[in-house]
Formats: sequence, structure tokens, C-alpha cells
Amino acid sequence: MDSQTLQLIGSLAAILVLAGIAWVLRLGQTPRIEGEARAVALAREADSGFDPVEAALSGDGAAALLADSQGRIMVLRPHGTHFAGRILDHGTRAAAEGGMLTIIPADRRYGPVTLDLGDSAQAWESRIQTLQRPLNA
Amino acid sequence: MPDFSPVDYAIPGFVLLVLAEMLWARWKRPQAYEPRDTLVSLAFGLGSTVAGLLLGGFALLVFLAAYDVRLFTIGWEWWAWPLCFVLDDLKYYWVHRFGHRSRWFWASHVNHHSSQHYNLSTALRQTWTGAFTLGFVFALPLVLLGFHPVMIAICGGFNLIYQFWIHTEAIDRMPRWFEAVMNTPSHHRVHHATNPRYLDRNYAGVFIVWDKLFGTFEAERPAEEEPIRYGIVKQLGSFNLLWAVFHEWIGMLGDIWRAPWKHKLSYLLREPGWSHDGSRETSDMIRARWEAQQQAVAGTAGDEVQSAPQKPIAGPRRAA
Repeated sequence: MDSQTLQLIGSLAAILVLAGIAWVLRLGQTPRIEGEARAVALAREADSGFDPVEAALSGDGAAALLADSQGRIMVLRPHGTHFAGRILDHGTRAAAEGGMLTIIPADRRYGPVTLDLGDSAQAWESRIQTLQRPLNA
Repeated sequence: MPDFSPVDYAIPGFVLLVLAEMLWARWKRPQAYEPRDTLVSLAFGLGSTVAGLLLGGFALLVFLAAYDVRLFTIGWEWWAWPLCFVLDDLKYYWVHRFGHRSRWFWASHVNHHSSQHYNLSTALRQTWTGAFTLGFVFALPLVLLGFHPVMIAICGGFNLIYQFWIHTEAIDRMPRWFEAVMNTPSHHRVHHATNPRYLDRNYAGVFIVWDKLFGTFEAERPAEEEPIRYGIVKQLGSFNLLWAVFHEWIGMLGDIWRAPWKHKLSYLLREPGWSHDGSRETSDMIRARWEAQQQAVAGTAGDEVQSAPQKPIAGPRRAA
């Protein structure tokens, strides 16, 4: 085995050990969204051009939906110890069942998001399904 | 001619310092690390090393060919080393600036910015695709001046090692004289920020004076006034390593494919976020919009209380 291969294997082992130590030390706990005001602040941080006028928080605090005055809708969910948001495009799939709303953004890499929205799940489903393609897109 | 790679010797130190910072995070700031993010960052580092071994030979061949037609022969004199280091850092400033201002280069460099965390493991989140940008041509003037390619490579290695320790939130500010001349954790936190005020600022590698000289310097505000958010304008929201590596190349090539012929080259060369139909925002556009918002907020602060009932959940904006 040559030195470069040994170095590669050693580096790979060090990587796994370091990631394992981060896990053992319980670093990076997933955050919750504590209230609508926090969801609004996070949405503005996710996109400084998005100014929410309406927010719906999942019952478990794990995700939120927000709408701005232009009718755009953003979904927000934790990503590691932070949050990642997406303004939903035309082509986003949404399905409500038993108060739970599952959203599959057109940006598939963002992944599906399920929110416990109770009575409002159906209304948000309808709004997402009627999202229009932007005129200049 | 020395046969020496400083980065190889620094790797054990990198590992120990990451470990030390994790222990600091355990007691002081547990959210500073996330195991999956760390795994992705370190895998980037390893993949980058492999990519360098596979693809770096082409750059070396070009450098050696250019060295044959050099203007002067500087050789291995002692004074050539610090001079080469400073000029290589100037080169780094410009290649780094291009890395943010041209989508072709950004498609590669975005890898380094794709984490929402800012810790020492982020420093190792290096690109796999740098060779595809041909960014090494920025070093050709040094070769043509007469600096030996190996000397440039060694200086570049020390430059990279210097930049490792500035990827941390564990250090607030260095002494004033140091902050004035050198790149520091504070200056580089600004560079990794997505706050509109901080976008495309502080490109320096070792010496922050380049940013001050070329008008791209921005000082870090106190965290209580403007907390920093790290990452990219549209956060990935995924820990998929391959997506993190190639997402911008895929996006760029898709845009070029779909664009009208007269705009195709612009999607390759113009700044990230540029679009022919104005449907997206560049960092300059984001900053301009944000500045307009700040002025509007400042101008109508007295009216905000009256307008609040119309937007019951929308609290006042502060520095984003």
C-alpha cells in the first residue's frame, strides 16, 4: 500500500472519528420554531425580500408556512441547527389529510415537509395548489 | 528545489484544532457544530485533496511551460519567499473576488460557503471542481515574472494554512493592530455572512489590506446589533454531499441550456443571481433593496405603530 493510499485511509478514519465525536458530544440539536414572531423573523432571514403578513406554525414547532402580501408562500423547516426556507414555486405538491399537510417543493432536494396545521391544513393545501407561475419566469 | 507540501504537515494540527473547538462548543455553544454538517465539510476536504491529485497536474504543466519563457530568474533567494508570499496573497484576493463575481468561478467556490455553520471544519470545506474554472491562470503573472512554480505552490500552501484558524466564532477580536493588517476571524465571518450588508465583502486571504485598498472591506458589527447568518443566499437545506458539490454547476448549465442564445454566455460569466429577465437577484441588487428598506424604515419609524394593526404578525424590521 503506497503512502498516498495510507494517507487517504487515515484521513477518512479521522473524518469519521471527528463526526462521531460531534455526535457523542450531542452538538447540534435540532431547533424548534417558538411562535409566529420567530417564524416571521426566520422567514425574513431566509429571504430578505420576503415580508410575511401571515404565518401558520406546525403544532410541533418543527416547520412553518408564511405568506407575503404578493401571495407568495414560503415553507420553513430546520436544517441542522439552523433553518432553511423555500418560496414555493408553481409545481409544488401539497396534500392535506387529518390536519396534516405534506408539501413537496418543486425543488426536490429541499425534501418534503409535513406540518401539523389542524383545521387550516386544507386551506393552505388549496392555496399552494393554486400557486401561479411568475409572469417573468 | 525544495520538495515540501506544508499542508500535509498541517493536517494533524487541523484535526486537533477541530477537536479542541468541538470541546469549546460543547460547553459554550453547542449549536456551533452539527455532526452531519461536519461530516460533509470534512468529506469536502478529503475529496478536494483527491481532486487536486487527479487534476492538479495540468496546472503544473502549464506553469512549467510558462516558467520556460519567464522574464526574469528570481531563483531561491531568501528575499524571494516573503515577496512571493505577498504577491501570491494579492493573486488570491483577485481569484477569490472572481470566485464570487463570476458564476463560472462561483459554481466551484460556492462549495466553501455552502454550510450554515462557521467553524474550523468549514475551513476544510474546499471545492472539488476548482480545476474546471482554470483559476490557476491568475498565478501565471507570478510565474512569468520568474517565481518558480514550486515556490508559488509552497506560499499558497502556507496561505491556506493561515486561513484555517480564521474560520471560527470562538475568537471575537484580535488586537487592533492585527485587525488592521491581517485577515482575522472577525473579518472572515463577514465574508461568510449572508446578511445583505455583508454580501461579497472581505475577499482577503492573509492580508485584509487588499480589501481596504480595493474597496471591498466591511467591518463586523457587534453581534447584538447584527447577528451573522452564514451560508448562501438560497440555503441548500440538504446534507447530500454530491448535491452540495455539484448543485451550482447543474443550475448554471441548466440556465445556459434554457437561455436565449444571446444570453447564454452571460449565465456563464456574469455574477451569481444575474438573469436575463430580471427574475432573480444578484448580491448588489439584494444589498440595494435592503438599503432602500432600511432608509424607508428609518424615514417612517413614527408611522410604524399606526400601520402595525394591518400586519399583525409582521414586527418591525431590523438590520437583517
